[in-house]
Amino acid sequence: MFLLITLYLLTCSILACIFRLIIGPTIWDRLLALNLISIKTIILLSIYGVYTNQLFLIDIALSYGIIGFLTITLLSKFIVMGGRQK
Amino acid sequence: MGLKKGVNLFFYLLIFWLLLTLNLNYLNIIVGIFVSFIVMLLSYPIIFSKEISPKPYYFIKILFYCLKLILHIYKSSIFYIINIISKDSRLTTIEVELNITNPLLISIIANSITLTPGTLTIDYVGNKLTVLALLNAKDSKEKLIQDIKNTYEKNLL
Amino acid sequence: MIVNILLIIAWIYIIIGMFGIFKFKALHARLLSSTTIDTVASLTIFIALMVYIKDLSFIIRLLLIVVFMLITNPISNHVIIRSAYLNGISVKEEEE
Repeated sequence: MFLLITLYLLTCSILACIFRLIIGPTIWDRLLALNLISIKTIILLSIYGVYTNQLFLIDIALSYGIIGFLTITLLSKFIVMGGRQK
Repeated sequence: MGLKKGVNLFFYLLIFWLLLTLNLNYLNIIVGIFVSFIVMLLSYPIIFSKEISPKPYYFIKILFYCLKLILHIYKSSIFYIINIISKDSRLTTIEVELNITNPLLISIIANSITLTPGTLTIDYVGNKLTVLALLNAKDSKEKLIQDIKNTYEKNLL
Repeated sequence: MIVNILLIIAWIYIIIGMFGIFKFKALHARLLSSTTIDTVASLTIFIALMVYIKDLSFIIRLLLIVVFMLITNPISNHVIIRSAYLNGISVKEEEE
């Protein structure tokens, strides 16, 4: 019961992050929203894996975390280098 | 001297392989030894390039340091919630000068400053950190600098 | 019983993290308020999950996720705010 309410609350929070990702004035706001969605997806996957007692969903959460970290690091390094403008 | 660190790295990689798979067949252990040996050969000149040399008794000290850090995170998150809700909060930058010169310990301190709610390190030159913080109207900067030095630096030395 | 108390504490952190994205007008304050409070929420939820389930193979995987998040989460925050700092958005312009 309490785990289900946590799942609903996390989904509402991801919707708020998507709204920030659409209206964000600068590009770092969009990077911030992407980072927040990546963290919340890991929590969502592992809560669902514990709730339905499936072990392989936690492995998927771990590998999703590695992919999200690499995405943030490479994108912000690309922005620091100047992108295509220089 | 260099071979000993490589053997240490090999055993850490093997422990993580066994924890991730949780399977004690012969074939699994042989594949794990093979993969971690290749990773050790490839990443050897990157990790041990400069004078970054943690001594082995540091790992026990770092474990106790993590437990103290989690307690400090929960204690400072309560004050930080009040700072978000109240209207007269302001952004400031402060500069902290540390006594440690080992680059591994400086990066551990910078990561743990970023982990606690309310403070965030921007960059560092030598042993001088630049920290961004969200303060209330009453709090002073000197108290925050003293707090950072007391909680992080004294536990690692 | 302990699980329910820990989950209720985590709800408060998640709601304040949602509130912190939309309140501030400065970029640095938005970065600082939302990401660090999310780390505390994730740590609380993982502790609650480790108390809730009694299987050993679940607990080892969850511990690995916690160690991984404690290492990589400050690095990604640091990389984002450093790229904003190097591209010329200084802190003092946004105080006013």
